[in-house]
Amino acid sequence: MELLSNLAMGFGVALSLQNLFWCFVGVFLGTFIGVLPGIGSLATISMLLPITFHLPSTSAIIMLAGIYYGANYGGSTASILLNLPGTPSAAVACLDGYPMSKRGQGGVALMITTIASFVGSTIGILVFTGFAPTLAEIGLMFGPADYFAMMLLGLVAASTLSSGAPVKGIAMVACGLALGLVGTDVQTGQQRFTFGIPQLSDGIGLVVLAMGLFGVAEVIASIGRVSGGKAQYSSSVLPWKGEFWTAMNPSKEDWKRVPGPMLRGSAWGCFFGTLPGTGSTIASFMSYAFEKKISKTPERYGQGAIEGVTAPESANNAASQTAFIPTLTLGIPGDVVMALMLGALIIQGIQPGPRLVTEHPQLFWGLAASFWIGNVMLLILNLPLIGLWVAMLRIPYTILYPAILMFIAIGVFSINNSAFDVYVVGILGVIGYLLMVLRFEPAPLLLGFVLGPLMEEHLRRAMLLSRGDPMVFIERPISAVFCAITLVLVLLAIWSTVKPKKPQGAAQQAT
Amino acid sequence: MRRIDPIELVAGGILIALGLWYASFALAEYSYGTARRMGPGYFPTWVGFIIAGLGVTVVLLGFAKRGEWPRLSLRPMIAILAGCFGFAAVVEVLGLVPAVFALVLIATLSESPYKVPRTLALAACLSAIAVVVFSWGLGIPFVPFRWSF
Repeated sequence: MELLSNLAMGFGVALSLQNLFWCFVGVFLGTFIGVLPGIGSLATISMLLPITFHLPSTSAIIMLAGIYYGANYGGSTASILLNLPGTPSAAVACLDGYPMSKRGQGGVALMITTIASFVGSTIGILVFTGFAPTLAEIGLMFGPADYFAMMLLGLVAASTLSSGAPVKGIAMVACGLALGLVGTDVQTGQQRFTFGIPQLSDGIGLVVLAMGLFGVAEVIASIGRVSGGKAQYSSSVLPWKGEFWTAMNPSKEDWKRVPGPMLRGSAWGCFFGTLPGTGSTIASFMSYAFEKKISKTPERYGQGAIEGVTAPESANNAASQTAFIPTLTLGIPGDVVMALMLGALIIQGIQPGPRLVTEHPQLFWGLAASFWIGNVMLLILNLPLIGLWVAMLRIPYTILYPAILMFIAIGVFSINNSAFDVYVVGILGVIGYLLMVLRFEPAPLLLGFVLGPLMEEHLRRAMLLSRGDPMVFIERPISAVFCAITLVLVLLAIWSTVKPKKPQGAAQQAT
Repeated sequence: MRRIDPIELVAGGILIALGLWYASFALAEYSYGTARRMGPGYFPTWVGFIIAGLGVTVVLLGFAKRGEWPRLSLRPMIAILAGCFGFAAVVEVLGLVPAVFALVLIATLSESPYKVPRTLALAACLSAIAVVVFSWGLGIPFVPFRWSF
């Protein structure tokens, strides 16, 4: 019963007044920015990273995690009521959620998604607490070659599975690797690509890069997009009136339909969350496609089928909990947000990896316990506050974007008290915007940036151990498996590029 | 219309140029080493060549698609960049509050009817929030105003 005593210790940590407060701040902010289209958990977490440097490490990570899974709850609200996905992983909820709203069942849809999210998260947390310590033990057996192969798999999976254009996705990863190498080479002390600028000798800051590419670039792109006026949505769907609350109770028939999709969705979520390189967006799309495929009445999907809202919501919440497994136990981030978490931990002086569970049990089990607490908070918060969240959507963007920009500028400046960083963030913002215009996705770039130095280090070590023989990647069983999966993904990507007609059509339909 | 996607051509072209520059710079400046003992130039060289190779693929795929030239919203781009620069230039000299004013006043040039009173009010509110949240709330030692410089 080691698990129970560990969990008890975790709850002791998470229930301290300070951690409860930061957990609440995290889930509250997360829901808020999840509802608002245009700023996702990525931009928010990068904006708040500098603030967390002033907190104890456990509180910092509890709050950041709260933003991440809170955003998943909030994201579906805007999808259902306004047909505007607040977060990418909530895009699927539009497909059936918005038709339900138009039919006057928006309340039912919100109720069900909240419950589905809670079920998904609960299952995700169970998998997290049960599986992560085991995986950490397996991780101790990994050699440098295995780490290199696994990171390669993660990067290839992230760039080929999530984006429509796999070649450009991989190109972004490679550019990220290139950027990540700027700074002092750890093994030789050689300054690389610094061009004599002293501020670059420590490399480009993760926070600066993330805020530039996601925060500033998103602001530029959004002004261009919404300059015509506010985002339009019909107020008829908005739940101001009293009937809304009575309309929230799902019928008996609805209750009968949802348990299956919830459980299957959670299973998909746990699978894709644990797999490095894939995350909640893929999980929600896959579970939707799966439910539609096994349904006896697939024609109802897209017309407001309650199963079509339930399964993806369970999936993306389960995935957002299990995504912490590879991040914490192996040091391999599952997606970009996890890459930022990894960065936050490293800045706090904690090296994620197989030893994290044993070396920092307070942090690990405290985080696990805070997941439970945060999800209960969300369950209680979310339903009564829906009216408030929707009112937030009325904040015009002309007020919002100067505020976002200000938080970015101050946040970046506060890290090192360096005006240089603020110049860089502006330039990176323009670069990020140009990348968007050229239809590149900046997310894989950040993933490559975080993993770049690690990959080089493990590659060097692996080759040193094998005396320069590259066969080591195929001879070691763990690394061979990763290499094989990577190869399959690459072949799949090539196949879908050469024969684009069918798979792309299907992907577009799902969007 | 020929079957060409200009966005892909530009994107691929940039990748090729960047990749080749990166690889050649690494080869020229840093020692390459051997596979067994990799020098600081080994990994960057290969990363550069991979970027260039992917760029070639992007260009080739661009010939098989039809597309239009991208549209840049130049005005927001320049205004936001100038806003960040304004903040950076002012913050160390005059302090936090003037820097927020500079940021807001410059960045809102991206909107076409520029409303002065509204923008000033927004800047005042935001700098108040900045002082409350960052200086008081989080205890980060910012100087709101720097009088002597």
